[in-house]
Amino acid sequence: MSVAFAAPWMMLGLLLLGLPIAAHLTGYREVRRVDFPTLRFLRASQLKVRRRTRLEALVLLVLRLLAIGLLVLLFCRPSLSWTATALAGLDPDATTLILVDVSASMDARLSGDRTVFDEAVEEAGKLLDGLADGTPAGLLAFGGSVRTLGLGITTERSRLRRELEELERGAGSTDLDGALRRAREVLRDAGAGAASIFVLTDGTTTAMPAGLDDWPEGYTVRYHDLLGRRVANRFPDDSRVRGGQRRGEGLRIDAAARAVGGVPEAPVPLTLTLEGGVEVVGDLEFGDDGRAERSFALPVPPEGQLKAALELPEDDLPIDDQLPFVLAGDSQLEVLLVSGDGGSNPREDEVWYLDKALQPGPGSPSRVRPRVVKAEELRRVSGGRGDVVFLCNVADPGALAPELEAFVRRGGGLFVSVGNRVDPDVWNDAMGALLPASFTEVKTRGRGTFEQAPMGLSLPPLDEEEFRAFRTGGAGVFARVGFGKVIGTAPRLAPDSEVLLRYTDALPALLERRVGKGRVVLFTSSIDDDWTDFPLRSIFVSIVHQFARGLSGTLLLDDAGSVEVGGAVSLPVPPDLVSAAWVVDPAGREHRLDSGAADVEGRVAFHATRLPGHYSLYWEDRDQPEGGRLRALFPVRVPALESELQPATSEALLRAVPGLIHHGPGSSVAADEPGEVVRTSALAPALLLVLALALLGEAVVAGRRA
Amino acid sequence: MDPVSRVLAPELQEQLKALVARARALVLGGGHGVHRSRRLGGGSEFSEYRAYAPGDDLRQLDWRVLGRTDRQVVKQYESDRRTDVQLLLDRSGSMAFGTTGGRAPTPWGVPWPDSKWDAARTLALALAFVYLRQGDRAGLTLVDGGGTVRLPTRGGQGQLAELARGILARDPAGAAPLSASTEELLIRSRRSVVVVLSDLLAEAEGWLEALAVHTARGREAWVIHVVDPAEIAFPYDEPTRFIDLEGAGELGLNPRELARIYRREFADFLDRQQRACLDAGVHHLRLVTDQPLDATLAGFLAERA
Repeated sequence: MSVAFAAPWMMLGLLLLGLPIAAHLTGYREVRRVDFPTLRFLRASQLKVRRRTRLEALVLLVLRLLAIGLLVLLFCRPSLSWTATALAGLDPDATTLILVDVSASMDARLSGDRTVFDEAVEEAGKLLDGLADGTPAGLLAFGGSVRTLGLGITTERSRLRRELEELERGAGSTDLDGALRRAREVLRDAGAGAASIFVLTDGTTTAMPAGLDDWPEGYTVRYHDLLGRRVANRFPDDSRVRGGQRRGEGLRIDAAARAVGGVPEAPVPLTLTLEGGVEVVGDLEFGDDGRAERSFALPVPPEGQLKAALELPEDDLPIDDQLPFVLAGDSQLEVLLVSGDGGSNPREDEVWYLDKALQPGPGSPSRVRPRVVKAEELRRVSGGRGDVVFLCNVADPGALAPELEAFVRRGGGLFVSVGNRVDPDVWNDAMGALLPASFTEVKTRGRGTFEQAPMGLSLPPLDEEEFRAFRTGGAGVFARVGFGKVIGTAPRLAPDSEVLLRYTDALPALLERRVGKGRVVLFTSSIDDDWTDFPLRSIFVSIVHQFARGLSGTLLLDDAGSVEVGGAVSLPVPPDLVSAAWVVDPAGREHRLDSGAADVEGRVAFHATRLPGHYSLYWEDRDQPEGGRLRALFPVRVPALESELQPATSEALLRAVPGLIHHGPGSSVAADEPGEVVRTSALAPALLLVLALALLGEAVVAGRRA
Repeated sequence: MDPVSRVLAPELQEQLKALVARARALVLGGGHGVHRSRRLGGGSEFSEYRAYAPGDDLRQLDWRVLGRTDRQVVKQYESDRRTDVQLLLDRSGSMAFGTTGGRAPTPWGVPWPDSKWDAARTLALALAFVYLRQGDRAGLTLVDGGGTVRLPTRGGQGQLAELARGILARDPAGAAPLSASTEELLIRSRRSVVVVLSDLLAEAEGWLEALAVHTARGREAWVIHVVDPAEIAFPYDEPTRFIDLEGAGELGLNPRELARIYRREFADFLDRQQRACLDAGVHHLRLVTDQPLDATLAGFLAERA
């Protein structure tokens, strides 16, 4: 730091400093002598004021010296110069914006526990320290999303320093495109005509910049790849769960892993961890292509959905050593379809449409597992809670009635559809304890078939669980469903019964009755295409799935799928929009969901997926007041591209951002282009201010003495 | 010029004569002075009754009251008698200080005093003038660094000239032994009215105790505190070397730095002196030399009348 003077010869004026000193030394000159009678009073008074007056005289001298000195300095027109930074070419008048990569790959170890992220924070600190005073600067943290730290562009470097110290590494992807766009936006908002944008990263980019052709000329991007060495990383890449075809059959988990930055020569242990303390370890042998696969067999599958993870030993990038996933064990729904009208051709079977709707075929994501049985072959019904029986156009359920009633009372779900084989009287006698309403007679509309049938379904209650899926569309289809025949029901409903859906002529179409711990749903038409075209309609699949799930009594967990760190996931909230819903993240922190922000499907977007691992969605439940009811389970994973650690090439970056300066692997900001920037500032305003204060002080002290 | 006129300007003498004439008109006098004696007892003017006590002069018993009421009471009278006034004039060096001499004379043609000494001696001779004209007797004690000069107590107009000569004999100088002189004066003049004219800057303050004893005996004592206005206002604002008039050294200082404190100190001194006099039963008058002299004299006479 140095001071320069535009008119140094004016320094001669400093000789004037001698004036107040001389005045101070010789200032007391008695102008006369007076004979005086009351000298003792003068002596007493002088004793009292001597100390104060001496101090005042000294202060006065200092202030006068200061005033004269400042005046002379002002005439010399001084300016202050100092070395601003070690970064050559950095225009001190340009705004500096530092973009710190906080993505998962920044967790890569450089040496010991030191990560690339640590290096980036240190480099950013050096940059901030090296900036000239008054240089506007800003900080952005970017990963899967971009975050402006602090107040945006500011000259308060200490504030940026604090923000930098509090910055935490994330685990998401590297959206360089979004980061540069935000940088441009921030700079434009701050009115910066020229700017140096420092990107401090490990080089891995999951979203390369694109469409930045109109990049402002004054905004120079300096891209620093801080990862100075090749990092060996192994990570579980994928997990596939294959279950047995029947309930109780075992599960097989196919795991895949990859190695980048060097293929391990020795087998690497891969650990499968299941919620509840189960751990299975198997060796992985990586091929030359850096890929390895391993299968785990679970002869006795766990019940319900479980948190599971595949884990490899710690390497240079520990954040992706674990791959979380959800293991859906025996949570698949067993559904028994009882066909009362088999027919010789499978397509003529009463439950053919139903079977296909519930399980379209191998590879289907449906977790409903239907089993078809002919009515005459069914000897008994077992099970209870969690099981569902579809009784479709069965002529005489009398023999099974006691077992069916017991099945329902235990919590089982019974879906009844009718057809030409159903005799209302027989059914009323045999199933009176289960039917929501007793049958009256078969009612025919039009020709008795669905073609040109004048009767459809009325608009369903969309706030009911079974019909919520139609909030976003499909509700109009209900009216177009054609019914040629239905069975009428008595107006008086059985106890604990209600009508869920009616035909367009107000006859009940779907009725429900609660019996014991279970439910009975009655569909007053056929489930095949004899009396109606309902099975041919798009809404059929959804409705039978919803009823199968609802009748099971054990609500299947929502499959929220897997999400990448930082990504959003759509989660359902309780339909009453009053009961609470919350997500517990891998660190055990609860995140309340705002039910008021639910969309028409009753779902809200959840973004707090900063940590990789398992997230659990809970709904408030009166029966479980403390923990709530687990409603969904989903894993959040580190993006695979982050694990691959493939640095962006100079060519690609240059193509993407015009004028970008790419600093190679391991480059340091401080070491880059050593040089100095000299910053100059006129001192006149500051001197004038101090001069004014000195003169004011002089006036006050002098006035006091007078 | 006769010594009296050197001290008392002729214009002032004329005012004093008129003043005395007015006093005579109010209080009859003959061979006796016009001043009331503070001594109660035999005299011509009834004062009060009191119960007879053994030892009282039977001639003072009021027989008429005894005959009418069978009560024995004696009459008491204030006696008209000649008054001796003892003037004690401070001629110490500090009395030479004055800042009012350059002023134009008063509307009555009386010049302003050159110094506190000038004011004090004028007032002292004026008092003597008044007392002597009324047939009283006046004595004068002059106190200065050279010691004490006592002029005997006498009556008659010739005494005025004697007193004037004594006053003019020396200029103020040195420190006055006011305390010793006052005590000595009071021993010799136990029945006199004592008037002390001084700036009261003497270090010792025993003189006031002597006066207190005097007043406790039923005598009358006055202190006329002579002050120059410059002592009060301290009108100096440039670095000045102050030289003590009584030879107690000198002091160079910037008056601006301490004027405020000095004024407060001196005002406290004036108040303290006044309060001490009043506490001692001594009459106190302040003669500030920029105030007309006759006003102080009139105040004195009015209070004594």
